[in-house]
Amino acid sequence: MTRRAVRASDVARHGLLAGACVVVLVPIVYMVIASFKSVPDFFTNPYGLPSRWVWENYTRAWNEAKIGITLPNSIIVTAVSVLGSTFLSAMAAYGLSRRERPLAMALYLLFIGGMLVPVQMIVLPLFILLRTLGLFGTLFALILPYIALGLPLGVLILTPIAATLPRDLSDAARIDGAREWRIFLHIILPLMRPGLAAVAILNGVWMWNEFFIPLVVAFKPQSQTMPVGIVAFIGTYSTEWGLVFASVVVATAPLILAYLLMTRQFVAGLTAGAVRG
Amino acid sequence: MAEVSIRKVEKAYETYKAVHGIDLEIADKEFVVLVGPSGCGKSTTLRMVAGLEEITGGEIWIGGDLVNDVPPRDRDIAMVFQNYALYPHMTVFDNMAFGLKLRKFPREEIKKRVDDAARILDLTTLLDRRPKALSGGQRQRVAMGRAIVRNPRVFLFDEPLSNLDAKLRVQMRTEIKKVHQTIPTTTVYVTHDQIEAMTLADRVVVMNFGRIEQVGPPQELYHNPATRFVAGFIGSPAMNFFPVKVTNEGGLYVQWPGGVKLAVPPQRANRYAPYAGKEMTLGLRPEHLTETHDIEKPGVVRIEVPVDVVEPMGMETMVHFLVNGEEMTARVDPATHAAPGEMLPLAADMNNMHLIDNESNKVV
Repeated sequence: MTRRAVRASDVARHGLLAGACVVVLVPIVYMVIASFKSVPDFFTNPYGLPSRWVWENYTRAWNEAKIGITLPNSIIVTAVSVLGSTFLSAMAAYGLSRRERPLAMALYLLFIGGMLVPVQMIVLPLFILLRTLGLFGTLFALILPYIALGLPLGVLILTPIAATLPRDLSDAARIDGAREWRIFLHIILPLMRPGLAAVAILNGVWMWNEFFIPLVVAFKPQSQTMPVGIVAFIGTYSTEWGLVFASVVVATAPLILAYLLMTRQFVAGLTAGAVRG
Repeated sequence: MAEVSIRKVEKAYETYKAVHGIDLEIADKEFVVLVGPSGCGKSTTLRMVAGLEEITGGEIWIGGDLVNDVPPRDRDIAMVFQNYALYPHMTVFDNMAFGLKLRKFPREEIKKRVDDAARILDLTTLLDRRPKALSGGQRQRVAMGRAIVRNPRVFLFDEPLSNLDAKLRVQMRTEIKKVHQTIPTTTVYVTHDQIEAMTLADRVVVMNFGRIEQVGPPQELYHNPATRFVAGFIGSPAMNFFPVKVTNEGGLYVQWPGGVKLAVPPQRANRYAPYAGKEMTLGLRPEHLTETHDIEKPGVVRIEVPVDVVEPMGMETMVHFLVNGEEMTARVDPATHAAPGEMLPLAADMNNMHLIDNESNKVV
C-alpha cells in the first residue's frame, strides 16, 4: 500500500469515527445545555447556549421530581435486578451448554423466545400476580419482573460462551473435590466474566430506563423509579423542559459512568465465543 | 494400598458399545498404560475409573472399595488431562492448591505440599504466574503438580503428552517416569503412542474396539504378541506381515506368493506343523530383516527384495520394499548399499518369526 493510499484510508476511517462521535455526543451535549435553560429560553433559543445558566433547574428537579427518592430506588432496583438476572442467566446458560439432552435445546429456545414477548402483553397478568403476592408498594414489584425479563438476553449471550469453556476444566475441578455449585462459582463464573459484563450493561440500561412497568405497578411514590418521576414535569398544557433535561442528566450519569468503567469487558463479552481461542 | 480392579466393565451409548466387559487387575504402585488406536475405548475406561463417565455394567474397585456409585471427588484419585485443564484465572500456586483448599487443609500444609511438588517439578519460580504465561511443557508440569500435591491413591493420565512437540514429549516422558520413581503410586496412563507405552509401563494393556487384546510387560508384548493387532501395533516401524502358505516338504516351510520358500527353524517346526497346507500370515519385525552378515546362523534365510524407498536414519537405515503390493520394511546397517530399483539381499531371521492364523487373527 502506498503512503497516499494509507493516508486516504486513515482519513476515511477517522472521518467515519468522528461522524459516529457526533451522532452519539450531540444529543448528550444538547441535553446538558438544555438542562440549564429556562422554559422561555428553551423555546426562543433551542440550539444555542443558555442566555442565563439556570442552576436552580437541578435543585428544583431534585425536590419536585423526588429524585432524592427515585434515584436510590432506581439504583437499588437496577443493581439487584442486574445481579439477579445476570447470575441466574449464567446458571441457566451453564446448564444448557453442558447437558446434551433433547430438552436442552427446547429450553434454550423457550428462554430466548421470551425476547419476542412485549411487556404490554404481560403487564396485566403481572399486575394481578403482584397484587396477589402483596408486593405492591415494594421494590420487589419491579425487581422480580426485571430479573425474569432479563433472562432471555442473558441466556442468549452466555450460553455460547459457556459452551466454549472446555469440559476438562469442570472435570478437573470435579476430581479436585468440587461439587457442582462450587465448580460453577469458582471455575465457570470467573471465566464467563466478559460475557457477564455485557449482559449486565445491556440489561442494566433497559432496567434503568424502563418506564412502562413502573408506571403500572409502582404507583406509590415511595416505590417509583426515575423515569416515572421525570414524567411529573411533562404536563398537558406546559412542560418544564429545563427540569426534564436536568432530571435526565442526573438519570443518565450513572449509566455513562458504569459503561466507561466496564467498556473493556463489554467489548470482550460481545465478541466472546465468536472465535475459538 | 491402592490396587485397581476393573471387573466386566461395560460402557454402552445409545447406538454403540464403547467398552465390552473388560477385566483388568492393577497392583498397588503399578504403572499400567492403556494403549490403542483412537476410539478403542481406552480414554472411556480411564474416565470410568475416574468417575467422570458412568459405567453401564460391571464393577470398579479402588483400594478394596467398590466405587461404581462414588463421585470422583470421593475416589481419592488425581487426573492429568490432555489439554492440561488448568484453571486460567488462577495462578500456578492456586491451581495446585485448589484441591487441597476444597479439602480444607490447613494453610501451612497447603503451602508445604505445593512447595514440595514445585521443587520436584522445577516450578518454584513460576508459582505466581497464570497458565497463559507458561509454555506447554510448564503447563503440563503444573497439571502434574496439581495431581501430586493431593497425594492420591491413584494417578490417572489421559494422553498427557499429546499436545507437546516431539522433543518436549521425550523430556516429559522421562519426567513422568522420575515422578513415579520418587512417589510410587498406582498409575493408569492412557496413550495412543506405543513408544510412550513401552517406555513408561510396568505392564501395557493393548485395547482395540473396546476390548483388551493383550496385557503384559512391554518386552513380552513386543516379543510374544498374542494377536495380529498387537503384533502390528507394538513396535516402530511396524511388524511386516507376509501372506504365506505353510508347506511340509521333508521339512516345514513358509512359502511367499512369488514362490520363495523360507525354512521354519526346527525348534518351531512342532508348533507350526498342524498348520501345514494352510494360508497363514508370517510376521517379521524390520530388525529381523537385515543385511546378510548373519547368514550362516541357524534359522537365518537369505532372500532378495526389490528396493522401493531408502530412509537413512543415522544409526540405522530403513529399506522399504513391496511384496504383493504391500509395503514391507527392513532395518539395515547404514553402511549397507541400497538404492531404489535395485535388488537387495537380506537375511530373514526366522528364529523370531510369528505365524498368524488368518481366521482367528491369533499368533500361533
